[in-house]
Amino acid sequence: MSKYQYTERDTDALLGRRGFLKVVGLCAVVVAAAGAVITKIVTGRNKIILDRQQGLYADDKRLQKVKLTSSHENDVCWKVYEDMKGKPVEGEMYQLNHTHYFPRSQLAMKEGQHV
Amino acid sequence: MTTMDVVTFRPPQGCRGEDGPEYQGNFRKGELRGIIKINKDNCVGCDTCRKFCPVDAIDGGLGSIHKIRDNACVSCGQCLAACPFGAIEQMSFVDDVIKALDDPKKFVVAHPSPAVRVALAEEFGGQPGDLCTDQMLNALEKAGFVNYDVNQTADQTILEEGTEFIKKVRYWVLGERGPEVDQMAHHPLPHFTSCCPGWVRNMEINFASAIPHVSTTKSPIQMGGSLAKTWGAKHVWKKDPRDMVMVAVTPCTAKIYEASRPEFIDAWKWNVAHGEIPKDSPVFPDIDYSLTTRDIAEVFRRKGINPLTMPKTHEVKTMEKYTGAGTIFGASGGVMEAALRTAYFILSGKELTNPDIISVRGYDSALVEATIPIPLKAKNGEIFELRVAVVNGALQDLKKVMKIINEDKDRWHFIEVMNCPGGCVNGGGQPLQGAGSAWLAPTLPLPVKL
Repeated sequence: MSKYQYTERDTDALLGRRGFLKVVGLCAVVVAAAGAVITKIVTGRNKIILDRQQGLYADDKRLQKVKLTSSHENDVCWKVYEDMKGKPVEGEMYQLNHTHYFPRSQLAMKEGQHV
Repeated sequence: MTTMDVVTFRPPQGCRGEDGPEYQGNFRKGELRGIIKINKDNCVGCDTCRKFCPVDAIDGGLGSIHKIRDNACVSCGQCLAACPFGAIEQMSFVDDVIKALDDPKKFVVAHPSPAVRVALAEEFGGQPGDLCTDQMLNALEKAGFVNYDVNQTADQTILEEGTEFIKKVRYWVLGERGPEVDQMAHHPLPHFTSCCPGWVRNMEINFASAIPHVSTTKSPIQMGGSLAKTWGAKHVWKKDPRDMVMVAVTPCTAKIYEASRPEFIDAWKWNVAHGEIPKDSPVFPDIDYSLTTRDIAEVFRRKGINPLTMPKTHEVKTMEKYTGAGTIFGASGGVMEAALRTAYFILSGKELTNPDIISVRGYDSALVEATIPIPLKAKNGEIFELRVAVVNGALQDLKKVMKIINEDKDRWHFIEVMNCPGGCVNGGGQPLQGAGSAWLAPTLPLPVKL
């Protein structure tokens, strides 16, 4: 019973079989790692939008706890109408708080004719 | 987190068309043009900006130098946020604001928007979404400003726009007639929001048939401008409105344009009509300057202030009180949710049991549709199904929505439009992150447009 021994055949190729496997393996690792990093960057692109939105909703939650949920619960806004002796969408408050728009294709017309 | 730098330039001579005719292109005299500009020396022709433009205002193709057509541009700044080479520049009023702060005779009011407080920290090493309201207000005070929170005028906007919308519902849905609601005969449903200056200019240029449908309510910043120099000057601060300098601090570059619109001189008109100032006083605008989040960070840096080292507590003054409805204006779907909270209360006579109307929040979907059942007090609890839509980014689904409206005007009652994907939090004036953020779907590297 002779001891089995494997020796690689001499080859003319640049790389032997094992060398080839090593190089291909390393290349695969590099490609996979780079792919993972790029995927992470791309899928995380809109994360800043969602993070900032979450910041605002957290502020909303904080205010809901102190009974400041909706705009009509802000007494300072009602004080404006009290001080200015007006009502929403009426008279002087309409003049201060509302505006009108201009169809840009018709600017040559007099402004007063637009809505 | 480090942010990318944006090159800014001072307003050049003639940028308001001050020496020109009454109107030039589609700008009126006084309106700022060229707020966003591509530096032709730095443009490499990668064509990214053109794909992100919601109004097709950029000329050029792959490999050629790109150029913005001012007449089509809504100054939203999304191209600037998307440019990978920092070749797009923004007009800035930082120098003028610093000058006003250094003038002891001036009473300088800062008017900070909701979305600024969740992004300002990024410029000083914080993370996106870090809420720094108290530190921001403290830093503004240290820099020499007096605060008037836009969140509060957002609440005011809801009182105005909510009342306006309810009058429309009463006239068009409930069929009421009378002096209180008859003015709405000229303003049919569906009702569009008017807070976003990018959308308003886009609408005036491309969808002018929607003009009667758009809320006449001013945006919170402009409402703050006219109220600060009338109500604020007379009843709160006791100041001469001529000495006041209103500085809007916004996440938005289109607000720079909005502030220059010549009709926004209502405070001056009111003060003249009420004899508060002499009749021959020079005209002053409601909002004097509009700074972006990046610009206010620059003001802080020049003044040697780091907001993140300021105290984390701040005593709430009269002009700084706001509600949750005011603060969510900065997120897509927020204006809708805030308006619904108040509209539900007025129409049904009771508060919502759960004020979080998650079904209208934009998050990262381009178009949101929802139906809100409201029991009507006037009709003994009969349910009114309010149909709403939120356009989250004008680039993606605005055209589709306008087409649907033209075919079926009854599809929705109330439509919110945000020019920027995600809402104001993703505005063109926010701190820029390296990965780019002008697009909702993260797995699409670029929107396909050939």
